Amino acid sequence: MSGRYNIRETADRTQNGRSVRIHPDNSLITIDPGRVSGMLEVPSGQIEPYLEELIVTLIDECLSVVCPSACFSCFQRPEIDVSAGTMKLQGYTFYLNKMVASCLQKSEEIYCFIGTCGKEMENLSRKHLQQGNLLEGYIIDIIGSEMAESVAGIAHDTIEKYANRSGMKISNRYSPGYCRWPVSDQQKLFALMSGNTCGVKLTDSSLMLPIKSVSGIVGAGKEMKRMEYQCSKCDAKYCLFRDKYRNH
Amino acid sequence: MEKEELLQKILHCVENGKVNNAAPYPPNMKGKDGADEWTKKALEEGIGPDEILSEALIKAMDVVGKKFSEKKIFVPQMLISAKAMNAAMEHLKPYFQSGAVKKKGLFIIGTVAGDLHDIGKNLVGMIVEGAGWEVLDLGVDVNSRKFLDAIGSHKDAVVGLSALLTTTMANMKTIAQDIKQQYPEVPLIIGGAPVNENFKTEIGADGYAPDPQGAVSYLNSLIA
Repeated sequence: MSGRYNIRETADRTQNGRSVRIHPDNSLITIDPGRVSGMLEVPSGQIEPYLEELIVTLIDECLSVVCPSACFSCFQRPEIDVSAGTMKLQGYTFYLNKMVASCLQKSEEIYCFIGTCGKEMENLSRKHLQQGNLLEGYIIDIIGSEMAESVAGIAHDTIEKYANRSGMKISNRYSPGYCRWPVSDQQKLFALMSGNTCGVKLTDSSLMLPIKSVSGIVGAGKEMKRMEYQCSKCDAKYCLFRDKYRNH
Repeated sequence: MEKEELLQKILHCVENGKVNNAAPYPPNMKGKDGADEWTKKALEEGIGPDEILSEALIKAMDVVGKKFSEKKIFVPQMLISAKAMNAAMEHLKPYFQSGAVKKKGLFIIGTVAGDLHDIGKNLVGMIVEGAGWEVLDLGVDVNSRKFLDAIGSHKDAVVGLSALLTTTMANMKTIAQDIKQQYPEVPLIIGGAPVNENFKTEIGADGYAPDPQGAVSYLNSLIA
C-alpha cells in the first residue's frame, strides 16, 4: 500500500470477512476545480476569473480542515437474482434493481464500504453560511461532495488491491440512492458493517451523518470488470450527476 | 442625492451583487459603496423602508430572478445578489419587526424527509424573502408532522416542498397528500431537480416552480 495511507486492518468481526479502516493523507484527496465549476452549472467559457480564484482558494481551505477516513468489510457468497434485481447477503435482502444486480451477478464476494470527509466539512460550510457568505458556503458544499467521492475512490482502489491479492478483480462501486437502488437499504448495509462505520451514523430516514459521506458496495470475482460509468444504462433521467459529469 | 437616484443605486448594487464597500465583487465596482451603505444612506435621507423594499430590493431581485430563468446569470451571481439583498435587508429588519413595513404573506418551506440538501431550498427562501414575503424555513429532512404543525400555527401560509434526490420523490408525494388531506385549502408548491409539472399534478400539489423566480411568480399570483 502507498506510504501515505494509514491502513489498519481490524480483527475479523464478521462471519466470513475482514474489516479494514483507512485514514488517507489529505494530499491524496483530489479535487478538480473544473468539476466544481461544472457543478455550479455555469457554462464553460462563462466562468468569471473571480469565481475561478474563489474555487481554488476554497479547495485549499477545505483541504486544510477535512479529516477523511474510510472503512470496508468483505462478505462471501452473495446470492444475486438479476431478474428480481435483488442480492441476498448474510441474511439481508438488498433491492439493488436489475441494472445494478446485472453488473454484480458474477461476484464471488461483496465488499461493503463507507467513506467520509468527517463533520469538519459541513461545519466549514455552515460557518460561511451563518456569516452570510452564501456563495462560499455553496461552493464548499459542492467541494465536500467531490471530496466524499474522492474518499470513496480511495476506498475503491484499496478494495481492488485486497481483491487482487486473492486473484480477484472488482466491479464499479454502487451506492444506495443511485440507479434507483432505494436509499432505505443503507440501514442493512450499516447493519452488516457491525459498527465498522468510521463514525458515520444513519438518520431515521436512512441518510448519513456527517453529510459528506458515501456508502456502497463493490463486487469481486475472477470475471469482474471495472468500467467507465455509463449514464445511458441508468433510467434515472433526473439524476443530479447525469449531465454535469458528462458535459464536463 | 435625489430619492430616485438613491433607490437606483441600491437596485444596481443588489442586481450586480455589490454587497458593501469592502466587497471585491464585482471587479468593476471595487472600492465603491454597496447595497449596505446605500440603504443606510437612503434611510438617513428619509426614504421610507417600504419604498426601499418595493422600489429597489424587490425590483432588483425580480431582475435577478428573470436573468436566472433566462440563463443570463447562474447560481453564483444569484447568491452574490442575495447576499447584497441581505445586507440591505439588515437595515430594514427593525421596520419589519415594528410592523411599519408589511410582508405579502408567509411562505413555509422545507426539504422533504429523506433529503438533506438545502442549498436550492435556501436560495428559493432568500429570493422569496427578497420579493417581500416572510419565510419560515423548517430546514431539511422534514416529515409530514413538522409541516402539519407549522401549517396548524399559520393557516394562511403558502407551503413549499423541496427535494433533490429522485429517491425522496416518494416522500414528497406522501407529505403533499398528508397536507392536502388535513389542509386542502393551503396552497402547495413543489420544486427541485427531480420534479416537474407532471409530478405536481400526480401528487396533488397546486404549483411547480422550476426555479426561484417561478416560486415568486406563483406566490405573487395568489395575492394579485
